[in-house]
Amino acid sequence: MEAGPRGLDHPVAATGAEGVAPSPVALRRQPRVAVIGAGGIGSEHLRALAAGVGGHLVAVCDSSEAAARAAADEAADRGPRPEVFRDAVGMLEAADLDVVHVTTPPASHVPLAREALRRGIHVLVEKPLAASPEELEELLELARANGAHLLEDYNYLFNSQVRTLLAWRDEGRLGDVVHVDVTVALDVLTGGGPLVQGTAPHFALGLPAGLVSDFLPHLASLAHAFTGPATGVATAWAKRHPSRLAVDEMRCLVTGSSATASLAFSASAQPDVFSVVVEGTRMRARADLYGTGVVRSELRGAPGPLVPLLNGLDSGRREAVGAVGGLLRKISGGPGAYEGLWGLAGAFHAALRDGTPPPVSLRDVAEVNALVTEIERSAPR
Amino acid sequence: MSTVLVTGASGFLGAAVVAALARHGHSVRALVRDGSRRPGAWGDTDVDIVVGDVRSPEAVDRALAGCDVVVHLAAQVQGSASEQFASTVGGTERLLEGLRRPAGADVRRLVLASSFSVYDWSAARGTLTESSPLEPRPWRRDGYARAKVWQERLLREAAERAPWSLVVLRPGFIWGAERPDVPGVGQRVGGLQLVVRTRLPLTHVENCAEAFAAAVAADVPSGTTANVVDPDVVTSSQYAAASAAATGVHRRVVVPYAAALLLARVARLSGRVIFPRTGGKLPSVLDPVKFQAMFKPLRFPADVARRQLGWTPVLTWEQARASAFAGPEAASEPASAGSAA
Repeated sequence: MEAGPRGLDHPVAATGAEGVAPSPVALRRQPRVAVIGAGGIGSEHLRALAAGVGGHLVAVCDSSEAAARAAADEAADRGPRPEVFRDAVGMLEAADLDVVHVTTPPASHVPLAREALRRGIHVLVEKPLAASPEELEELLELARANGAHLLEDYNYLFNSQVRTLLAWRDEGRLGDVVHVDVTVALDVLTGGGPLVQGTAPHFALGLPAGLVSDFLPHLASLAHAFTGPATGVATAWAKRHPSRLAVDEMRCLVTGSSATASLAFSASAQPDVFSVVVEGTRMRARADLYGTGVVRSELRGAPGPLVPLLNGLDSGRREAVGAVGGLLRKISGGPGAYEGLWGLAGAFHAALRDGTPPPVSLRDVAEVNALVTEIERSAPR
Repeated sequence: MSTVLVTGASGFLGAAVVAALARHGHSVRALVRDGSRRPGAWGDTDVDIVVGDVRSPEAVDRALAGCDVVVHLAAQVQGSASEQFASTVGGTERLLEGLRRPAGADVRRLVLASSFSVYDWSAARGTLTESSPLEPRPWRRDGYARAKVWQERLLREAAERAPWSLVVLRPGFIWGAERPDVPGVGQRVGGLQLVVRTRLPLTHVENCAEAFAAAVAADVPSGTTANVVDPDVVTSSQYAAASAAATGVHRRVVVPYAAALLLARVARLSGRVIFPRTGGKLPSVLDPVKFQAMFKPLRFPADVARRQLGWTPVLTWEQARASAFAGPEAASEPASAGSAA
């Protein structure tokens, strides 16, 4: 494509990642899985494993022995009781693992992933994976050298609506993708909490762009899926809430290798939303990831005046179906908002079982992190 | 008299416990989080304030130094199940680590504020006592119950090999003018209160605080456990009527307990039919296990607290109601005389 919009003159640094996936070796059985970090998002990984999305949970590790025991007790209600560990390295040595899910706070992601990769154990690590390009490159190199997979949790790529958008792209129904907009607005600072009151340490305070950094891997991975690697970035930052954070608003324009993208995070705009809008040469489609369904407007081959009417009727039907779907999702007892995590974990474990390429490649991880790093570079501290 | 550390000292119960301990002649040290306001209940009580979080080892050491009793009230009652667990149980783990360090060397007694939520309400029949079965599968309960089950479990395990003795108090619903809402009354739907007809295990915050003061000084063996429920029998209907002015809910419909439980069971069955793999995920009030934990009409004797700890409630229901809910409806539906036991 042509050079990006004016002002996007910050080239995204090359990562040096060659993106060569390790040679896949089929386990020919379900992988033996451990989860490090039983609280927070770790409880969602445990729930996915308990629901049978893939491998067998054989060990749980947490610095809180009670948290690990509680998780093991719950797992034992449905299947074999996993072993409980407080020491992650001891678990990696003792538990005969195929894969670990690292779901601890971000500061420990790199050391834990390093220990696992050194032992040739595959790793699915929560976002954000690494604090610096150097640490990321070290992990990617360790993964390549040890024939292990390293995935960052880009779970929203496996949300069914995003799969629909990607399928429409691959089938050519969108036409050529011109632009993708990813917007997250979440009222996370109203009502106090550690980010506002300073009552307890919160991991987001240690990230380069604070709370925004916690969401950036989601925004960047969704944009990257449609635009390819970023070649230019321009970002605006703002702070609206009284809190311990330096920033709580971000708007970013990205030049990608095949399309442009806009990424937005807001802690103030309401109501809450997590949307992905893809603009193609034949169709504009919008997915609300906090709901269900995809709404679209497309060229229909109908007489011009009828196109808005047909699109309007189709959108109304899809909005209604999506709203009902959203309600059913809430009461179904299934993955709910973590549908993508279940999908990603299941696809990863199936890849290990069958010896096929993993659902997120080392190249994907390198390119998404390059974009995240470039955005964070301009964040006020 | 003792030097008593109170964690969660600026909370609803904590504020009253600090005042009660001071009335009983103890020196009180209060661990409060940064930004906490001095509670009105403290009055002009001389309180040694330590600012910090119970999840911070440094704050725990500062708080413990020189204390011979700990009253552990700190718990998170809001947020996700994971957040409550990390805060309530994680804070207890940090406190236990502090008790093993030199800063905690003088501690001879730990009094824990546990909860009625640790019981297995599905199994309980007739009378709930300290020996009623505890919840064996805490993951089927809400985040508060899960955290309280594990908090109590950790402290009991630690007490078996600790130089301090443990007293566990399990209060029912703690109420007062500052917190008139009692979840066991029923479910609000807009401006309407659906009152589930039941007997409430109530304890007024000042009565409950007296139980903690009694537990600090009582000569009882380690592991002593006492339910804390005020003696007067109060029904959900009586409480809803008395607290209407304070809660702002004047329109009420009373639903028999058995009918509401039947509805919850039908909802669960429907969930299992519609979502056979997962059974569905229902609101707490339509989950029979959680429903029983909230509303089951049992008898709630507090004999251990009164006879072994020497607890004497300072307010009757009539006195507590008059002071908390002075209003036009406060005089309606007087409580029945007699003991919950």
